Amino acid sequence: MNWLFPGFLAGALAVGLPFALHLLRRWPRRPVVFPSLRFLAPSSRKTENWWQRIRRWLVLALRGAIFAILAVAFARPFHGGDLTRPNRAVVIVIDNSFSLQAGGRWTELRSWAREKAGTFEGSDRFGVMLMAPQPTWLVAPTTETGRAWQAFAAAKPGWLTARAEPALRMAGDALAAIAADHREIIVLSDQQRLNWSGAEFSQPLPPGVAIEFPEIPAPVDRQAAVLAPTLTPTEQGLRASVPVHNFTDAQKRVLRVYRDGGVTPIREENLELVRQEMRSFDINLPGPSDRAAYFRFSLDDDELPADDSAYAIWQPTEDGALLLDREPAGTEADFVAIALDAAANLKPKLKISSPPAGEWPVRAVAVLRNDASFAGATAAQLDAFLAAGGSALVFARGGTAEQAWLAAHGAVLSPLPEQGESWQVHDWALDHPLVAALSQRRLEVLLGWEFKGGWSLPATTVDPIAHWSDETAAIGEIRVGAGRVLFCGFSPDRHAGDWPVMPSFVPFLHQSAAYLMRAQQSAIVVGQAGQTLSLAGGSGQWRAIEGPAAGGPAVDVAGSVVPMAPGVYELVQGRDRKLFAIGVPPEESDLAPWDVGAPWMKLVSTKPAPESKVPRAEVAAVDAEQRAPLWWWAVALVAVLLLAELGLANRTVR
Amino acid sequence: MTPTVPTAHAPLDMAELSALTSLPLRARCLADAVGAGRHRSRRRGASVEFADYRDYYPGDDLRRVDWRLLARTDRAHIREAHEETPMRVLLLLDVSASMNYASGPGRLTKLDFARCLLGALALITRRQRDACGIGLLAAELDGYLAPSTSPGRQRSVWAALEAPALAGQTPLGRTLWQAADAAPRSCLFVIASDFYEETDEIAAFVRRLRFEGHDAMALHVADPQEEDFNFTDASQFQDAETASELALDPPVIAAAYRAAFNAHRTKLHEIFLESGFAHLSLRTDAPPLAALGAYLARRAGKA
Repeated sequence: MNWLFPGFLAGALAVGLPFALHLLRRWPRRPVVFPSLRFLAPSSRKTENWWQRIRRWLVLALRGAIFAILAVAFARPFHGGDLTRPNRAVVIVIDNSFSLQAGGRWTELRSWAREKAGTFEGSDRFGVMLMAPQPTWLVAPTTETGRAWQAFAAAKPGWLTARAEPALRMAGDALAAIAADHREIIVLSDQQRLNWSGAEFSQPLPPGVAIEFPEIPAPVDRQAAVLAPTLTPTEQGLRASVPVHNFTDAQKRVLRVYRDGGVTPIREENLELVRQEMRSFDINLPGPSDRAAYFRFSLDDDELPADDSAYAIWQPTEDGALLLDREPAGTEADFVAIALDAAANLKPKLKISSPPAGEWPVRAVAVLRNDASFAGATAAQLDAFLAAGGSALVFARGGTAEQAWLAAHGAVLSPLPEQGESWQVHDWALDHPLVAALSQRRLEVLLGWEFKGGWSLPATTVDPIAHWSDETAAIGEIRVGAGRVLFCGFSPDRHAGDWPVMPSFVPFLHQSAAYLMRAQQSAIVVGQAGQTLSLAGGSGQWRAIEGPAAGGPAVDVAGSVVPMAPGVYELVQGRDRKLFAIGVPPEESDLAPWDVGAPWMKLVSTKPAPESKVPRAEVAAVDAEQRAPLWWWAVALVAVLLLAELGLANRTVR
Repeated sequence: MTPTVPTAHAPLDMAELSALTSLPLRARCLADAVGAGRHRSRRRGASVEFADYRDYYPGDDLRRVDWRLLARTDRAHIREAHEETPMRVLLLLDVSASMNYASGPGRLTKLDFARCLLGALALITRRQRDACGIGLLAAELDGYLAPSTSPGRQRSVWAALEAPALAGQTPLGRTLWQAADAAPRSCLFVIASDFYEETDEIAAFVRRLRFEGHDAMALHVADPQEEDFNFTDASQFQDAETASELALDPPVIAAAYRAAFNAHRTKLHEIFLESGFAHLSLRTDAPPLAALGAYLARRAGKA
């Protein structure tokens, strides 16, 4: 037991006060006149009984104890061990880059760091810091060394790259602010050359901070990394170009390709890697190239398996593909075909064709105005097309099949009532991308839309873009499956009105096709673990579907996200789904250690540590006392004793 | 604040009583509170107030024959009436130093309480045309005045109660014995005292009174603190009569004291009761109406 203010212990002498008062107590000089002492005299000879005597002495002891404990409380006791013993402040800075996964490096270095840190006592402080992605305290230097050891035991190397200098400076500054006899940084690192990239060795850490570096680990025999592959479509499928960097001697490796999270490789290639060379291998991948897919390219394990896999995402592009169905029978002219042909060479260009007999290509826009397109096998093709993410521009003609198909998808058309005047389309949703594109140059494009008749779109299922004179929806958008349908409640022929010959006809068809094509396109993002990815389109659900982090729960993200492991990630924002291929930092794969001296030793300052104005032992004592404020318990005990004394003392005079 | 005299039969407040500075006023308050007036004697004789009829016996005074009844019944009856007989009341006031004690401000001393009480009794005896005397129990029987119905004697009694000379240590047994020596026959001894005397002495006195045909009523006056003894602080206690001192821790001896005090009072009670006398325990913080009532009851029974 130590005391912060031992001088107050002299106050314990006050223990004698109640005893002295008890022994020196005199009867009051002023007598109390009483009629007769006749009955008092015999009673006065009666002495206290045993319980009264015990109680009286108990009260006396309580009073003495109160004084003694008060003195103890003021002296501020604490368990601090030997404060004159030199204390230590140690920080283990952990290089958690993925190069530490190589061989048995992590295990060896962790044992080394544990041994270097040794044991901590009393006012010793211990902290743990990670280097990557930026210097971060797992536990700041604390006397709760057990907590720091737990954090140290739980730390693991990740899939990031790390730099040593920022972490060392941060740890050095923290140690310099601690009153300790020995301040030490233990660097748990493989001394990779990359660790010291950009380090300013000429500026040492604060004086008095020592650094312990491990020995440079032995070089590895087999190390190669797969870098970010690229995919290109071919007539047979896809061709992957896979860069592989060999960091060791020539070796034979096996590269396996997995598709869409499968466990069976779709391709297996034997690679002849030349010494210290990066080569790109082209691999033909089977399977359709018109559907989205993601691939994992994995080498057989070497001494650093963290960089033996890379990921790629294939998103088919059929820009401009436009499927135009046959014009309905009885039309005097196919205004739509003529208009689209006229706009085919505008940007974006349109490649107009008829819907194929088989499966419709997903990356296309279908323009439908024939009732036959909604009947029979064609309707099934249309459903599959939309379910897979295709888009369609539909003109209503009120055909039976068309209405049935729409009803099946929750959209029931209502014919506009006949009226003397023509129906006008107005009240455009100016913030809609299609309307914005149309009105970008001339607002007149949105005027003069008049029809003899048409159909109202259901307000409950349609996202309206323009309205009829009676405020019902004239143009709207509905979602079918993963695809979308831009629906017009009028037909594009002269029977309905003069719109096909109006200046707005061609621009509308072209911009509608362009809008639907743009909406189909989803981003393919390639990034690195530890880097911040900007996410457009508001909040969404983020989860890994391939790689070390796969299987984890989806998390809500908005704005940005930092993937901490390689793999394929999925971001779902409403109906939109985007894929992200995340790799490891390629530079970290080079395990080459620093090979020119040991310049990091210059980080250790040669200047003596500045003398603290307050003696270190005093600081340690205050610190130890504040960690476990025993004086509070002493005061609480005094309160309890006071209550006991009040109870007992009151009984003696009652 | 000017003290007011309570009206007759009004509840008696000891604080108001102690605020009255005049003994006659206090006494009147007490007397009025019990509503005491003239009494009737149990003895029957020739008087104006009818009591009963009895048969005529030869030798009876013919003037007491009810002639009208004789005419109606043809039998001679003697008309009897209540006879008014004076009672000799001897008031004995203990004026020892122990009686000059009040435990708190605003309280009557035992002596003042006793004076007030005896003054009220003197007033009642005058209203009832009884003979009243007084004696002060000091070192010797002091200022003894034999019971008399004369107005002068009443005034003398009042004078004795007004300013009794306080004595020191009082041998109560001896002075009581002296009072018994001096008293005429068939007296009612009304003794107001704290009875700090050996019970044997008191018992001998009581036996003598009974033997000599006297009546007695002991008014045992005590201060509340004498009964309760709830002092808290250890103190030097001083005897009011002997000035001897005793260092005491009241909480320790309180129980034993109270037991001894009550035992003494109980013994006195038994002594008086055995002889057919009254013994009343009175506290100076409570109106002594019970004592006055007991007196009146006793007066009525003896007359």
